[in-house]
Amino acid sequence: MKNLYHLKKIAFNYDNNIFIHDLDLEIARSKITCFIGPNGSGKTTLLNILSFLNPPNSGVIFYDGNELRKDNIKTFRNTIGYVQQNPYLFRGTVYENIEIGLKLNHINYEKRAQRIKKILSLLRIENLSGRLSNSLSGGEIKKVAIGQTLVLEPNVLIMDEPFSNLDRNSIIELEELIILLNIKFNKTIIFTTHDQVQAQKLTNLIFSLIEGRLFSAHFINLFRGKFIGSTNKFDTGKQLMTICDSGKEAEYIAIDPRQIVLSLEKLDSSMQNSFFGRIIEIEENDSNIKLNIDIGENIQAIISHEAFNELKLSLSMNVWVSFKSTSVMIF
Amino acid sequence: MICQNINKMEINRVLKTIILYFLSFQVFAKEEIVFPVIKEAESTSTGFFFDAIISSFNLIFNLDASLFNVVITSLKVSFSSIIIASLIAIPIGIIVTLNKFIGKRILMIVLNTLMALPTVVIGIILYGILNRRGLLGGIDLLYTQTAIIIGLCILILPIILNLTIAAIHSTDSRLADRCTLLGATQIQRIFIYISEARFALITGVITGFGRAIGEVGIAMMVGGNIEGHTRTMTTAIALETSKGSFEFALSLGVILLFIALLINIILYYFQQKEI
Repeated sequence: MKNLYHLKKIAFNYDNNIFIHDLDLEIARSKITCFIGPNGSGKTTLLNILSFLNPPNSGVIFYDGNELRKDNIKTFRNTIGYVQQNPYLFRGTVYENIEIGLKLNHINYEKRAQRIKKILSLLRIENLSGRLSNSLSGGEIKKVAIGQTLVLEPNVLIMDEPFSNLDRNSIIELEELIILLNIKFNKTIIFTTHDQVQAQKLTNLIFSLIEGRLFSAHFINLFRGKFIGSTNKFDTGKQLMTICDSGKEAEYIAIDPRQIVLSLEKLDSSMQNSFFGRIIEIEENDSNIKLNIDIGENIQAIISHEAFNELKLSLSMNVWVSFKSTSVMIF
Repeated sequence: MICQNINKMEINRVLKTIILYFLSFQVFAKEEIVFPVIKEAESTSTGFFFDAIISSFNLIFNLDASLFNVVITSLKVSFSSIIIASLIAIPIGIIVTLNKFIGKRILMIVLNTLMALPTVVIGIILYGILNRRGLLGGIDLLYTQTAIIIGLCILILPIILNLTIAAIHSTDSRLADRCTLLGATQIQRIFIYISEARFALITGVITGFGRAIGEVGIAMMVGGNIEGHTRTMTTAIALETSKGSFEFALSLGVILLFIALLINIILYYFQQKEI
């Protein structure tokens, strides 16, 4: 079995609100999978289903080749570790918090001490060991919660927005930890984020979740908004974009970052969309260069090294961003 | 408006009763035959109440045996009932809060109603069950400390149950998920919730204890106010006052107040810790 999870026609609704629509999904074993989506897109709901915390209203879940039923859900849940977005810590010290799962699973004192020590050093939080849980900062709480989950040695680690509210150093540490867990310990890792760059750093298995629907491609320049009347102008709230279709009831548009043309002067071309903006971030990869440009909205463009050198682009530089109306996806 | 008027009338009536009550002592105090014990008070008739307070403190500090017998009986029945009621009510309260079942709402309404159960009603029902011709007449429980403990348990069980339910309700909603994810069983869950909500639960237990120690109806009806056996502080106060030994009653009142103060200090301590 290559895939760990196989979800068929999963739907989840609560109080007449649909959170997940007919969703089909396969998640690979021993890989890092990421779900990207704006707030309220159903990421947490999906993770609750994947961690078997909330059963879906309809659909079938196959886990490790077995169909999930009421009688085997507990066994399978024990192989999954789930770190929620705002993790809850118990009263008491950090040590006691990490210990509690082991205690509940009747693991003896020596083994407990051993495993906790290992986890504390893995997460580099030995210094927090004796601290009371209510005296921790947001980032520290997150680390302790990861420790609380990892100490039970799950095969799958699910994390909801693990990078939110973390400082730069903690983000790098967590990225290293995720890669370590995946490569060295062969763990399947599933996480959500709303930061595309973050997701791309760790994996290429990225799914976009938009309004409870899953898209296998990940949309980089995703904007929410609405069409103005029956024109072909789409208002994202901060910028007006021209799209070849018009008057649809679509709520999202996405622009392929490779289709974006950068220039120092305004181009006299057939391209309908031209915006003046400022480069706010440059990231160099082996094959290309990613630029984040502020045109009112934050837009990402991917260009080649050659083009980058030719234009002599640098941070804070003003550029023209252009793209064809046909390169905009709407849904 | 009407409600306020009634309240005012009610307060006026109560105040009048209290004033008349103390005035009546002023009158009786002058009659030597009725109240020989308070002879000293006669010299300064207006100082009767204060003199009684001083004598009551004398009784307390001289460790009067009959006084302390009553106090110990009171504490014994209250502590026993609070321990039994807590052991029953806290786990049930947690299970009721964490699980969904048919009739839960009705149960909550019933529990709330039971909170307002008058103690004499419990007394009379228990009397009906425990007396010789009653359902459990054969086991000779009437006029024993056990009977008082049973009655007090019935009284404080709904209080602790309700306050437990409120305490568990106010715990973080993420706690339930955390328990599930860590693989806690139903029994382990009860212990986790007790540990997480311990200060709120203690508030409930202490409230129950306060209710138990100040209770008079049950102790009187099923305890029988037997000296050295089932005489509690409250029944003794009622009896001694009507008998005329005001200092004795007052000294019990002072002790009762002191216990109430102690309870509130403990309660305050836990509430502070909660913050």
